[in-house]
Amino acid sequence: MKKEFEGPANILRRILAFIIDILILNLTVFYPFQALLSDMVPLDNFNEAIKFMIENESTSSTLLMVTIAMAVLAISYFSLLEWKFSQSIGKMFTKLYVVSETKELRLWQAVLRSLYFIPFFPFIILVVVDPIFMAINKEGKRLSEIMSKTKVVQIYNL
Amino acid sequence: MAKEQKRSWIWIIVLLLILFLIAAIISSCIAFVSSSEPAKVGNIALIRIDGVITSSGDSGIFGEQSATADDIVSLIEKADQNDNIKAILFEINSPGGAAVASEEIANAVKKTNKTTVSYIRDVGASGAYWVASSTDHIFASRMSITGSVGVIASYLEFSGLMEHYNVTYERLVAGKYKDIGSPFKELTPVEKTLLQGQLDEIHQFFLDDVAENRHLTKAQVNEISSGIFFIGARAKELNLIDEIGGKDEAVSYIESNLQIKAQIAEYSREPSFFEMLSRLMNENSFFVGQGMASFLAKSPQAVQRVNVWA
Repeated sequence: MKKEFEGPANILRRILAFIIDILILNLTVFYPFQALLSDMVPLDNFNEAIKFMIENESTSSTLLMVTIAMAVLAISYFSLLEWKFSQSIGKMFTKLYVVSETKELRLWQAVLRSLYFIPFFPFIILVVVDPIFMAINKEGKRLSEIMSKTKVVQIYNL
Repeated sequence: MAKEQKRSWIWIIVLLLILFLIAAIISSCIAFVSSSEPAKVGNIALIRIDGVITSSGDSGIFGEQSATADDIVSLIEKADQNDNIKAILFEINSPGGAAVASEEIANAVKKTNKTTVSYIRDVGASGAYWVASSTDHIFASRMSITGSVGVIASYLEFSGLMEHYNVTYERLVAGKYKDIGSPFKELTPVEKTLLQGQLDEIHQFFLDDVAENRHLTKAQVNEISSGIFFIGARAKELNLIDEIGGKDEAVSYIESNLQIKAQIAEYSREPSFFEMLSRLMNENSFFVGQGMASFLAKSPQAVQRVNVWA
């Protein structure tokens, strides 16, 4: 007889799920911003883009507006799907689930675990800190997950 | 179970659609708000001089396309201030316009520190040629209409019509030439000579400036001074243009001269609300718009001023 139990998600699966989600976001939600960004900044060369932004302050502030808008939409994508289905699309393909460590997963928890998308201090620190925590934590949890009392699990069969 | 899964996917697709719509709205708003900013990606600024050159103001609801000196000078200044811009390319398709407005643009072109190149499309005559002559290099198609270095001042005179309807013009002036050019009286021979003298002076300014810009010989100046226009092929022989060609040739010229890979950034004025409305109306109600525009253009009020056009 097959026995199923929930356990910490495999890190490689989590990375794959994240890549799938980012691809979907790029093709849908971020798509309208692409033309705008390519009009504003030379995107083919990173150094040239940085130089351009330093030289043109007004472009930098517009760029900040764009990144904030993109962040809010990305957070909405992850938090609404994870709150409603416990899965984003990437997690659906990789069969991963987001669960709450307390009771049922609340919306604020789903939002809190995606705050690393916000492109300014202190949230931007999470972009670096989250993967480090994931690497050193026994259960492979990110700092945002510890704070939001959530975790990503997968179903194991015995 | 399958039904529930189907419902979940519908929910997901709807969510993605909503997020996409929000993204589209936000990006349009940001594009609209930031459109006045001068910084643009690219190293060649493309500025269009399209339509009759006027001093200021935008075209009215039913007005024709016009190139206002205020806008074009401000675009030249913006391009000049942007360090990323290495050259300014002018696309000219204009029969000319007000003499002062043309000179203002020509002066702004001369003031800029960037390489300036122009290419004339169908027509770059009179005031528009004045602007082109101020650039470092001019391209035109062999069939483009160019030159026409002359000045014109004209108006409709209604004294005959008024006489026909037994309307008299009560003339009260302090300064005997104050009402020179009034459409309600015929010009006296002295007044005609005076106006002609002033036109000749403006013509000479225009001619001198073009001769200086293009390093023309006396013989060449004599040939163009009649105000006749020339097609591109003849204009090249007279040194009014440098090369036969269009946009591609102009861009290649800049690339090889400045050793850069061209990235064109279009510098244009954002249309006002009324202009947007006008475009919409012109496109959707062509016949109504055309009819009313031609009516307005022919109305006597539209021609009561004496304008000097180059």
